[in-house]
Amino acid sequence: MSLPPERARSVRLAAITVIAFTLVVPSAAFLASAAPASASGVAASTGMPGDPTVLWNGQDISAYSTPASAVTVTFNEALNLLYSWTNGGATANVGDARLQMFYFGFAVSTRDVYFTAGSFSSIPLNWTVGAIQYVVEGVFGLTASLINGAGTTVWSENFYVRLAAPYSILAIAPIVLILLAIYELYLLATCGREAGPRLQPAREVPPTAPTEAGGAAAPGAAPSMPEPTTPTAEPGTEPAELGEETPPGGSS
Amino acid sequence: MSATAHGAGDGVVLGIVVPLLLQQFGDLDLTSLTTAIEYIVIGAVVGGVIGAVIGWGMGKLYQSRHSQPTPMKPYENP
Repeated sequence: MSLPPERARSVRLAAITVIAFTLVVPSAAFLASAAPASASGVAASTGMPGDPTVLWNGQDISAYSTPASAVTVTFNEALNLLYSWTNGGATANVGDARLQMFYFGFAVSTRDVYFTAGSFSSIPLNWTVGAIQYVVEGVFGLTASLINGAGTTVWSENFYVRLAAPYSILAIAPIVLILLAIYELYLLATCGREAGPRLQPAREVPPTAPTEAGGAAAPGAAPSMPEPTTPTAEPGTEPAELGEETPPGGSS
Repeated sequence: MSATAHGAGDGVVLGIVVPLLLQQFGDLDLTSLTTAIEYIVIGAVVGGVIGAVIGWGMGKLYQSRHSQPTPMKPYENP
């Protein structure tokens, strides 16, 4: 089975559109986010007094610093982070605890907790992935950062999470990508047919106007079809019934 | 379009899809923009080359299986 060239071209165009859409999603999220992200996806980290730490459900996020050690986040799971630092960090004048999830260098999810600068040394932050979990799954980099009252990042740390879709596949991007990969593998397996001779479509023969016996059809006249002939009996004879055979010697 | 060009086109699309699938189901890190573009461009180039080779091979295989028999020469009287 091979698709006609026009249909194959349209399917190819649809595939490119899907890939472009997949790449545009983080860009749209970047434009919609209030806080611009750094181009590299990693916020600048500066030394902050007070030895800040961030606990993810009681575990230090430094344990998830590589994609292989990413913490798994199930569908619709609410996560509780605890930003804490010692009293020595009061000089940093921290007023914002931020968590950002990056994809293709853009922040697809941002969560901020604002508070009076310099007044706390421990801030809880509850976070859910949001609508993006319906679109993608897999490993994503997150950045937990502390921002002072002037809007400058005074501390940040990167870690990784693995978003798990229901049944490990029920998200838009993986389903579309799998279908696309299967279709492209099929096209690749059947592309040898392109090396064969192309069959030219049969030319349409213009209908010829039948002519009457002994005379030509008048120009512009519609072609007349011969009427079906029906056997007619000569006057005075009985029409023979079907299936009735006449003996070769005549009637007796 | 030849079988080689078809195979190259299919390989390019597969080369782009594979890194995205590895991010979805594996441990490929596409957090950074430059790294992600590097993966996709490298995947597209490698996939295009491999796809072109596969397409060329598939074309040759198809031609060998569907080759027309050479007509016999008519007998010539001296």
